[in-house]
Amino acid sequence: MRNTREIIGEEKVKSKFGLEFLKPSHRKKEIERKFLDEWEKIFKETNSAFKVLKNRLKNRIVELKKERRRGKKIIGYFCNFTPEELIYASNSIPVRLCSGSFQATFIFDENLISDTCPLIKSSFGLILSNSLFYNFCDVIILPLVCDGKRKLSEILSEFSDVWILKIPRTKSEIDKYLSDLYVIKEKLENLTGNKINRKSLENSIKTFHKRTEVFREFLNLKKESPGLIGSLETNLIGFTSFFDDVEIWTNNLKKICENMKRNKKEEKENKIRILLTGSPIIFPNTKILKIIENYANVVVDNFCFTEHLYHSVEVDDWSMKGMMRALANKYIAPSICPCLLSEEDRIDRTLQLIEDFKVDGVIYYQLRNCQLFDLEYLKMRQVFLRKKIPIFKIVSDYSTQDTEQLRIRIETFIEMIKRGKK
Amino acid sequence: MAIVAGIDAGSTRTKVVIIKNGNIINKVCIPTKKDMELSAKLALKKCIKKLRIEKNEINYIVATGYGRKAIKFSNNTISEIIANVVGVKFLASSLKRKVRTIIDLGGQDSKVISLDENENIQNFVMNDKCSAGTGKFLENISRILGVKLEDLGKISIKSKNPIEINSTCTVFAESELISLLAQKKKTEDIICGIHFSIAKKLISLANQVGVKDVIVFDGGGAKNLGIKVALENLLKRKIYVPSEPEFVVALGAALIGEEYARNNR
Repeated sequence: MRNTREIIGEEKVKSKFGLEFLKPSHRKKEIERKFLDEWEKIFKETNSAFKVLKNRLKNRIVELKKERRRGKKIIGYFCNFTPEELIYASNSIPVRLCSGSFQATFIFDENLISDTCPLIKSSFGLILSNSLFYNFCDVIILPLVCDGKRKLSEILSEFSDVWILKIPRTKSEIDKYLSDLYVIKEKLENLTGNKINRKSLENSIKTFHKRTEVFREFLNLKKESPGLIGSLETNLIGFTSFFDDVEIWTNNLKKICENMKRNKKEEKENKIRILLTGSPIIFPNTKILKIIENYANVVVDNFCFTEHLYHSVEVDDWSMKGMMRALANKYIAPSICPCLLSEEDRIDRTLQLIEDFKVDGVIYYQLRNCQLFDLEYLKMRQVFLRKKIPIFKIVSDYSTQDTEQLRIRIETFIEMIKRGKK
Repeated sequence: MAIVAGIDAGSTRTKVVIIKNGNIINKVCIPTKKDMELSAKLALKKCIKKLRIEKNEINYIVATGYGRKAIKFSNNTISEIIANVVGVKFLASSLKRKVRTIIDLGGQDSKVISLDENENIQNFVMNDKCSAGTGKFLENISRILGVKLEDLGKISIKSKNPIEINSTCTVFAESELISLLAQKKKTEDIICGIHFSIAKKLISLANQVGVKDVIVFDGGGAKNLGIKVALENLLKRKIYVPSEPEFVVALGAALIGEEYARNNR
């Protein structure tokens, strides 16, 4: 990454093909300070069992630096379509770069790109400003999902090595994705000098199986006592998986689960049970969760950014071919990404969750400027209303200036459900 | 039965309604100051002074509106949308038909609430985070034109040729107005045009949830006759405005307070 960009004077960064950006270092401090503030704060608001994660952010940044110096490659990636198992099998470290930092969105804004998805703006801002763990990548894998990500891959490739991963538009075209996985596999081998063989991939997949197992146990606990594990906790768990080592993460979550089981108490009050779905809510963009949890329990969420933890690679045949196909299956078949033509899948899955978790109402979160989630709501709403399931859409970005407006909407929706139940 | 107060801490006005045995015994509306809790205290004080009762004789206080969380001395809070529905239901009980749509024009929000056949809240929409086409906007207009806020309605219904105004944005409308004034357009035509542009904005909001009869228009903005006329004109339907539309939400909060006091919540 360093060799492809040149810093001109104090003010500007120039890419290899001459794309210039105001040097974002003046933002870096602000971004990191705010981010770490929120990181500290979340441990005050969540159950004490989650404190084991508190040092992981800072420690991990140090660890990543060290690993990099030792020659390990760090692979940044986006979205729920990049197989971590493959990266791990090449003895390199996957780090997910999706971000929820509001301060980081200013870097695009300053360059007159404002009507774009905040997730894209924010992630780019963190990468360009070298903030936190977003700056160690040797290469970035970018699945071509929505239009925003496609263009982001072009812009990012000016500053870093970017490998694109083509994503089919329908699930039946899974073979195209599979053949692209082989391309990524070869690129990984060339970059790291480590061959991904049957043994290493099998080990990797099995390591991630353990992660899934623990995560499902965690979800079960949440199902039994939603008052104990709320959406902030789930969000934190999801976010730490972005950067943390898979084995450390799994062990920590195991500890948390044991701790929670020991401290399990009776439910205090019967709060309204909410299912949250829609655009991903990525740390530190947790304002919506905080508002909802004031009035109701988010008993379950259905987001792309925790799906990779829930699903596992189901291998029947442990040959190289069999494992690669199983990998492709994990990432495409159960996907709820609106980039795929599979709205029914999201609706069906949500309906299933509503039944399983005895949900009273659904809140659909849409990131401002995301057409896909906006359009998907149309059908979902009508289907749900016919089934007499209350559903409500909120639209917001990463800024916190609309907190009060969101609060009144959410509070009213929950009160509406309460009154409807009587 | 008890004495209950409902406080609507709105962005521009603070309203208090006190009820006893389900009857309104007094109400007060004052401009909201910087300190919302202080404004609420002042309004409540003013309200009970006339009644010659003490504050501790009030059994229950429910706060609503934008500043509801700031009012620490209240017993409970309720969202202003729910309070609005409860208030309207109470006032409309004399109507033979059920209310299905409530249009609320407040100081910095506008909302449309749709009710089902049993007057239960079915859906609602609010304007986005900016204050375009709300009470704040009207205040601005009255300042620019040098017309008192309460006179806007009276003046506008005199207009025969309302001017088409495109913007309801508080900032852009100001420059549009100044250019109209420079063209020596009649004040009543300008004001009428503004009322139509606000009404259009409200209707586009209302269409998101569907407009059904009976329609009630409330909130401080409903005191403006010009907007009511414009809404009726555009919707081609009759619209009911309660006699003091700014108190509906505070009344609703007080009624909810009675409900809470009964259930000891």
